Amino acid sequence: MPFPTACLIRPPLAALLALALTAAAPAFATLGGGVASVEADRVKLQGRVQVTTVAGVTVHEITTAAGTRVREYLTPDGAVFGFTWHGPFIPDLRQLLGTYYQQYAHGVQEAHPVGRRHLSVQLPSLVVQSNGRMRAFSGRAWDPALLPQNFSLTNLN
Amino acid sequence: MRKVAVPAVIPLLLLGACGGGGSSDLGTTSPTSPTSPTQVIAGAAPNVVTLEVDAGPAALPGPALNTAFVTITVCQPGSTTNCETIPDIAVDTGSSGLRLVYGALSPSFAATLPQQVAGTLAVAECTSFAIGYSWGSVRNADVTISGETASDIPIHMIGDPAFPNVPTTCSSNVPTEEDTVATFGANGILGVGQFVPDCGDACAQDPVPGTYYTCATNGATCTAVIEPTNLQVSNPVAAFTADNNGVIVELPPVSDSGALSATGALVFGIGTESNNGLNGATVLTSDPSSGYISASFANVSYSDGYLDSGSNAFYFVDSSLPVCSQSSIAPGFFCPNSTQSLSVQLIGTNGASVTTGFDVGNAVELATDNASATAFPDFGVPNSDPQGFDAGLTFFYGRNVFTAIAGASTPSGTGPYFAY
Repeated sequence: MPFPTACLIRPPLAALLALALTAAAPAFATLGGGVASVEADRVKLQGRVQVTTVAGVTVHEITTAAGTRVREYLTPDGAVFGFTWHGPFIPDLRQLLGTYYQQYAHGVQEAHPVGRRHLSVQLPSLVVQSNGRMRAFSGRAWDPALLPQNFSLTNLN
Repeated sequence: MRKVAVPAVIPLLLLGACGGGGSSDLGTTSPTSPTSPTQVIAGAAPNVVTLEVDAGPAALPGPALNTAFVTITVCQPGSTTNCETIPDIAVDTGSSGLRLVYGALSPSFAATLPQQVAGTLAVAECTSFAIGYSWGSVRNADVTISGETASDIPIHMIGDPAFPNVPTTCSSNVPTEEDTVATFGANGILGVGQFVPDCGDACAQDPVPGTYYTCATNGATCTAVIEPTNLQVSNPVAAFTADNNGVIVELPPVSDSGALSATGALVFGIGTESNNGLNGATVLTSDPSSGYISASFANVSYSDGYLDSGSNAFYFVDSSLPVCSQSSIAPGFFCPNSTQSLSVQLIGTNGASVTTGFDVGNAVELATDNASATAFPDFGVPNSDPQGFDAGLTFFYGRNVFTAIAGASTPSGTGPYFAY
């Protein structure tokens, strides 16, 4: 079930275009980046990749050397619109968020988490939900503007 | 800062305390526990330490809520005189290892705790919580809690000024530093969870960024390193000479409207003494890697289930309940128009399950009506893990909750498990 959030607020068209340009750029970035950025992530996370399809979208699943499963969800155009993680460690979010990292870092400072285990950062063009405790973390991040039509967030898991 | 007065003696017997509901059935059942055990809170004994839910350290920006504290004594290894007694250590069944905030100790004492070294380099650690990180040295200490002592164990000294440079791989995931009493929310945390070493085999096989590092002399940069499990910061209970297979968190029932404080017991050992038997509690074995059990709530299954004294509310997915506004005194908590009587079935990997009722009230009204309370059993928060059901300290009021350590044997089987 999706968290009741501002995630349906769409950024203005200009922002969308800017993101599309970002997506087309050569990849080190991940969220918003192209398929090539998944490979950059795989190398950085020292993982192995498996490609599957979930609810009609392509998912690249990286299992990191330390055992955390990262799934990157691609739009039909090949841009990463979201990713999830599940496992003993929080993966390298600076790597995975790419160009979104700075707004995430700023959003964390503005967030008011309740307790130690759950963090939710909700910005107009980025949602990050980070949960868990020692040896068992999970989370997900996505750009609401990049979500494919009719893609339910329940499939981002 | 108000400090709540608390009774010095633990009540010997509290009867009829066990949660609302408890009998409605949500789904498939295997062996179930039809009734909850009658709660008995342990009295003073060598394996029992007083557990206090109260406002916590005076240095906090506001009173702690639904946080259970103990007092511990830390000594230089082998010494019975070079020691400090530290109150307001949060008890956390969701992590492993003792972490002390450097600022809660006198610097001269902290300096006498031997620094762990790897060759000529000092070992430091980063601990990731979902909401921030803590960074500092790994030192050894004798840790005494009531009548139990863990001798010469590695502990995490967070905020140690000898390690001023936080590695980027430590700070970047959740860039909120929690290395002072005020930001950490306690003088330290006593991780008495389901595992012995905090990281485990993963850190012993390859360097895992965001965990263990070695650092050259003061101020130098640090490098992620392999850390053998026997050198990792570890659950102190497992290092006790007896009563070392797990813990019981025993907190009395608290009125729906909240309480100034709540006094109970943290009991060491499961089935090792006359005061720590399972007493009819149902064993829910958990995943040996993650510690998860599963949950069934409102006819939906959740795979990331756990009981956690380090969570200060019920965290669950329910998009039908309103959330308190960001400008309210309880931002992000559930704010239903009326108190909701809910029910969850918690299910172990062994197929055993228990169905338990719980209430979630309007956090703004509760906090407004009882502004000086620190124990609120009806606090709930939306869980942003779509697979998550986190039964926090709110769940613990009025029942004894067992946490058995992975690989440790108890009269009711080998850990890891929860039982209640």
